[in-house]
Amino acid sequence: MVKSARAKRMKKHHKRHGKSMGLNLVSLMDIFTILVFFLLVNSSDVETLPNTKDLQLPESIAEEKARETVVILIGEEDIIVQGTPVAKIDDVMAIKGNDIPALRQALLSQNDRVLRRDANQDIASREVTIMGDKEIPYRLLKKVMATCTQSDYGQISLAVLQKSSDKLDNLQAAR
Amino acid sequence: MLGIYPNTDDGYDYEALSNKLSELKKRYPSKTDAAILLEQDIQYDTLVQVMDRVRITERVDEEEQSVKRFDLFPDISIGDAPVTGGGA
Repeated sequence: MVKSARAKRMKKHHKRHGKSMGLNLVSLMDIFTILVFFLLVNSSDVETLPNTKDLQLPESIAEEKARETVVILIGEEDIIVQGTPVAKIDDVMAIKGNDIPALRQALLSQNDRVLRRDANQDIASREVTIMGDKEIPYRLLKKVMATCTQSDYGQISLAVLQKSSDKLDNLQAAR
Repeated sequence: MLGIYPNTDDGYDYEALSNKLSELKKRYPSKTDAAILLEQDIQYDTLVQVMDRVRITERVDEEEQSVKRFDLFPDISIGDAPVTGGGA
């Protein structure tokens, strides 16, 4: 088959440039890597606390975000530490004094598992979050908080629902 | 200097408490600590609401149409209220 000079030239041209026509994976991977890091960094910002339907947290104008800590949930019937029920409310209310032995046991065993290693050394940096229904009496809260302190937790946070301030609401309503 | 704030129809008079605390802050600007003493059967919600009022105050800025927050006494201690007869 006789080829024209033009056809020959075209063939040579395709040979030379044909391979580079495929998808350029290197830059694509770069972009995806950046995207992955971006998402990782951004999503680690939000710490979600466990949610229960029958628990009504008090509302507050506090702005601090939840951190990753041991969570004590004071439910209607049980005190729950990191998802496992440890003590019945009725029993706790019957205890004289401020120490709840079952809760203390649970908290001490959390020490090794959940807390970061450096927190193990330093009591003041150990944190615990208490989620309580807004109707629980102070005497119950006090017992739980006292037990936390006795179990070497230096920082106690109270979980609340964030609300916007009433004054701001009034202002916006008046506008 | 101190005051007793009787409950209004909607419960506790947090507004009056907030005003009084702002006044106290003006008189002692460098003071940041406060103690909240509660009776045994006070609800957790009340504690949180009072803590909010003791911690910060809000003032409406008419010109900017915004609400500004000021620290009052952010270092709060919690304790038992002394038991008194008749709840006075």
